[in-house]
Amino acid sequence: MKKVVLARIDERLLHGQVVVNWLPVYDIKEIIIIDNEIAEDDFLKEITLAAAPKSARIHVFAENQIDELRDLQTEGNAIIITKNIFVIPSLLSNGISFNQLNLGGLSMIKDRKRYLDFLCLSNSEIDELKEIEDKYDVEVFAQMIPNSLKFDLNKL
Amino acid sequence: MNITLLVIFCLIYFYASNTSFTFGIGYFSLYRPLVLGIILGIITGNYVECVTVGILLNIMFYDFASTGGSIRFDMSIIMVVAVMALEIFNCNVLQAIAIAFPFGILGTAIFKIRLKYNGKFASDMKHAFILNENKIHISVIKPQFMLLLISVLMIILINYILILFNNILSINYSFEKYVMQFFDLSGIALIANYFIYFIIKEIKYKHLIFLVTVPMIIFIPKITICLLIGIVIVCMIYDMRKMFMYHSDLKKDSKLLCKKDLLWIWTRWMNLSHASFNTENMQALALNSAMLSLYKKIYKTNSEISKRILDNYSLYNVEPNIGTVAIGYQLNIEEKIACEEYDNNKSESIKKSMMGLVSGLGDSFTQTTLLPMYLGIAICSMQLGYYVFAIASLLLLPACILMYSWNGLKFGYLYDKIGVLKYIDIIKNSLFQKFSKYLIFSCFFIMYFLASGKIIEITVSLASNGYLIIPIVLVSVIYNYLRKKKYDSIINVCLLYIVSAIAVSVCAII
Repeated sequence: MKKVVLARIDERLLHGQVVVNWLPVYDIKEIIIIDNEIAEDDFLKEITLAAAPKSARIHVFAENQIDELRDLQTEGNAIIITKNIFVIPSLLSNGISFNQLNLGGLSMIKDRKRYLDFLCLSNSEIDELKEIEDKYDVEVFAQMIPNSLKFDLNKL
Repeated sequence: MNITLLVIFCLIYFYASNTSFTFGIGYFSLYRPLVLGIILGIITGNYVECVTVGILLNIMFYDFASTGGSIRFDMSIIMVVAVMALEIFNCNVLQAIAIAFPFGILGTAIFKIRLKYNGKFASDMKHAFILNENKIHISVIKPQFMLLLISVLMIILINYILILFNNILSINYSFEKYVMQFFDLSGIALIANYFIYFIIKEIKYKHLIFLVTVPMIIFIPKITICLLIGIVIVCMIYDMRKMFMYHSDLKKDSKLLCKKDLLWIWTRWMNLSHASFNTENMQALALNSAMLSLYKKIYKTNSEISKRILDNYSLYNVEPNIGTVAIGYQLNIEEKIACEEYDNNKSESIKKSMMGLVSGLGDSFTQTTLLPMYLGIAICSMQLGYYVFAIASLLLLPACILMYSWNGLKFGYLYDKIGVLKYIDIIKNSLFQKFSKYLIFSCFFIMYFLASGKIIEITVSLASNGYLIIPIVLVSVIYNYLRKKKYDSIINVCLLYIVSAIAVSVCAII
């Protein structure tokens, strides 16, 4: 797989913020969605492929398909989008490297605490993100869209 | 400014920035400076200057797209304050824009307060459902009153700040002259830099469109505008025809909701999706409010309805217009849950996955395809003085949005999975998508070409009136350099004002 320019955590996955704002800024040609629910449901997978922007190719993987993802043939800059923070270390440890991890949007559920208007995280998620930053030297930051305020993980 | 005018300004700002209770089209019409400029121009009688401010601001915000509630400057408050500045200071359009622009941050602050308050309201309502499951009532009137109150207070406060500032300026003539020079310079720098930034960004890749459209607008302006409007009408008819074809070809499932029920659901969704938008669960309140009539048809007791509302109370965020297909499909699933064909977990998973996917498609279609196309034609027509074409374009945009949103709901609800896929196909392969690149950039180059003439004219007149052209160039160069550093847009604008103040001070000393 060629260059992954950004990984994003967002429970809305391929949302307007990604399509309208992030894709043009990073000139992204490949969108990689890692989500079990979409990967395992034919209808959702079909919608995902149908609704993808014309400017980029879209690929859907389940969380246990890291090997297939690593062997994926891509042509341009790629973005990885997932809802699950805990899938990131397995990507990085399996040779799928990137320098930036963007926290886009996670809502309030049990055990989570609100850090920003658009971001709620649990203690275990915070610990995982810190480990990603330290162990894999990945810049972890929260930012809705490229021209909005950027918050480093340590300043949350 | 008299009290009646102030009240009208408060109400207009509230309604324009609110974008609720407008069938979802407020964001595409009243919120835009061009439309506000026309309305405020008629009200104040200062039509030419208000429309000029509207055109210039709209060009500056031409690439603005709010996705998932992300905004930095609120263009509607800038427009309203600019018109207030015209009234209070009796200044020119550049000075009005420079005075008003920083207030855009206040508009964003109001938006954020609104999201938080709505979030608290949504949370309180959830507790009310938990505590009193026999009482089913969803209303978003309370947060609207709160927003009205904040909007009114903010406009009154800004009015008094502007009056106080004007009084301070009138004490000393040379100080007034210095400050107005500063606003002239920052106004021209603000506009010119947005212009330079966009033109440099786009002309490199779209120079062929530039080379075709600019001569066309010089030699055959009316035909060019007619051509642009003609193309969008053809695109609209093409998609409409495609939708009718699918409506007659696709098989409808037997459903609980009749057309009247669907119309009511659509009305509630389109009017409430912005009204209840919040940090807690975004549009979940609007979703439940829209689905209430279906819940009432399916479930016999209030406690069952209350349970379904709470099940559907988690975060929901979809592009409101094209996203109606997801709402329609959610209604469809809700019926299946009642027949035990689906369980709540499966429904929740489909709801969450669909909302993002449809939003990605919707935001890119409505905000970066339809809006710049129609608004671009309206701005160009207005600049050329073809008011009928401008109004036609401004009316066609909401008509288009309403057509897609109503059909989205029907496709999602009536035709099940195949309906969702066909609707996505209509949007993705819309004729608008095919022509958008050419149309948007044609409008883009026409409006910038026409506006640049005006800007050059003003700049030359400022230079001939004793202002130096050097600070204008200096501010432009420094600001463009800072902009390339990719600071936050608020910091960028602050820097522009600081550089302008330094440039004017240096000129005054020299």
